[in-house]
Amino acid sequence: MEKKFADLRSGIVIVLACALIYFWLIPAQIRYRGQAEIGPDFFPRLLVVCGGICGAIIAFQAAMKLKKAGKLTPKALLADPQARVNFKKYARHGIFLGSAILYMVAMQYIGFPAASVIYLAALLLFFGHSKPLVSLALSAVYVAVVYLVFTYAFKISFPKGFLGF
Amino acid sequence: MDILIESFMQFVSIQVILGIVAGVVVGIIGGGLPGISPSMCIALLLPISLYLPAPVAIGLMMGSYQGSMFGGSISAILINTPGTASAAATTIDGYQMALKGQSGKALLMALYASCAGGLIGTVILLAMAKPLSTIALKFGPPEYFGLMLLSLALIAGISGKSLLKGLVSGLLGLFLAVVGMDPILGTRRFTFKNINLADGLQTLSVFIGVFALSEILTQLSESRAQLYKKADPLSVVDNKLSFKEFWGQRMNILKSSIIGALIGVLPGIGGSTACFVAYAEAQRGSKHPEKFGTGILDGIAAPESANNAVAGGALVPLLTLGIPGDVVTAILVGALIAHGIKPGPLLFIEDIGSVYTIYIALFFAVISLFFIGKLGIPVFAKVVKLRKATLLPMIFIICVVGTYSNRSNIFDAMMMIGLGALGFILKKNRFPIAPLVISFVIGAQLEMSLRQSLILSDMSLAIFFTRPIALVLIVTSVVFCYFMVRRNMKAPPSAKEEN
Repeated sequence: MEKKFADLRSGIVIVLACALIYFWLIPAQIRYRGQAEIGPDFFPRLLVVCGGICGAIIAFQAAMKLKKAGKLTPKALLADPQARVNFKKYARHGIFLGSAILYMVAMQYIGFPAASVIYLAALLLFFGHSKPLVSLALSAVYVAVVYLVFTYAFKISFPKGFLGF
Repeated sequence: MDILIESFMQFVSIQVILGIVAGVVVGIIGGGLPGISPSMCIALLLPISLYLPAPVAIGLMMGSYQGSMFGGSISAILINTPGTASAAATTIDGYQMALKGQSGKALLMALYASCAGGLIGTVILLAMAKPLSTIALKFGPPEYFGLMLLSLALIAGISGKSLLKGLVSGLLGLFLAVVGMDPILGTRRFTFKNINLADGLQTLSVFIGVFALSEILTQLSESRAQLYKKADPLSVVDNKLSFKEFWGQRMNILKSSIIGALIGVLPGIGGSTACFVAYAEAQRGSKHPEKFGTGILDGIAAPESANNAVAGGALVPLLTLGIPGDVVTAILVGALIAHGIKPGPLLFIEDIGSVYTIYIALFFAVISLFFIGKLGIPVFAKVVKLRKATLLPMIFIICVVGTYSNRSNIFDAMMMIGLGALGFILKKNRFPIAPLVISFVIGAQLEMSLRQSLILSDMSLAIFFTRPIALVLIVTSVVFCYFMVRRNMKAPPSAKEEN
């Protein structure tokens, strides 16, 4: 039943997103002067309409199955833990993604090598390693290899920090 | 003939050979590591390939393609975990042989069958590519639209049980392709006044984010202890495969390779289906079908030759029509375009040298696979033991470096994070992500051909039904879609997951 709740949620989110894109985002983000019958907003609008229809069908199918099982009442929806998204389960994912953005911002201030060594060591610990020194050593060697290969072999210029590299 | 010789001579260079060898090694290691798919492997190599000369880059990609197809069998045989979906059928008999202490024999059979399959796939590519490209020369915007529609129809094949979810994923891919300049009027769309988005979303950010990062996020759902756990292969790789044993499989390998190559030609079906079809056919045609599943060579030779032959077959629609048949070929399109090689019928007229380069690279990749596989089986078997807790963070750093290096722009790496999160959300809600990538690749061409056709016909849809090739392509798309949906509905639950 958890899958059906997820489908219902997905379908509703898709329909709402499509409505938002159709009525707000497209007029706000695609501005053109001209009388073209098939303008630059033609294709995005077509996609959004098709997406909205698919989302509505997904939601409808899930709702019908839930109704059949007697789970489509406000009381059942509130009482059933399967109907809710367990955000706690995704705390690690949130931390990982948030730290990744911070890493990229930090890279521009302290440079690629320093930011990457610190971040990779922290990631190794986050993913399951337990020895900080081993993680730091592993991280330093790996980042050095990546940095040297990309800088000297592929001539990539990485962000430099106040340390000068 | 001169062009052929010239193309061949490009491969008599140490850089190109090193490129192929590196591709094969990375492919075998990547394919051998569960969770690292051939597409992810090639996506990670894509940024590196951009800085290499075209023949080296093509060699690297082809090497990786062939290598990863074989690599999947290493973990399938040693730890009962297929490294790639294409090696799933190899697990059935491969692991049983490993339990009997015949892991070395099983790995060698997988290697020889993979090489034979790769060569047969290349021959089929040679035979089919040119005639198809001659027909494709007659294409205008409506025909291109029909072709793109056929590519979209393959979404039905890779959507698994829910066609609707595949469609949503495909539409999302098309929507992502719309970001940036309008191809006809040059109007900016969904750029939020950000100059970094004027060129649209970078292909690398989409590929790496949706595939590699979403996979890292999926693996992150496991506990820290599970991620730190070492995979435990069963036995030392020490036993041999005799020539007589290999020769006894010749008809099985030939038949399975032809099945694999033909399945590869059909867009959207891919290696995982090919290996199961070949396995089933080998069992059906065997004198001792009851022994399948108990650890016999036939059960390894069939799927392994089929999945490597898929590579040659999948290049047929890519080179002749410019349509990617699966995710790996979708990434290959990006790599080829980045090197100024535009796949499609005109390629055979304007740049036949590049076509020969691809053929020869595929051939050399198979040869390299043979030698590297033979030398490296004991070594590669050890890599399978790498802890995910070590591997995944390192892959993430490569993802960041890869997306950043494309334009030396940190914005692309940030977009990759966002797209990775999107891929993860889609996966969690059981939306297939392959349709998103395929649609993203063909999105711009689909929109352009549709709008050009409608402008040409004064908004009349009749243009698609009055031109024979366009009509045939549109009808084929509908028929293909119908059969794919029917196949998915009839398939057992395990096969649906596989899709």
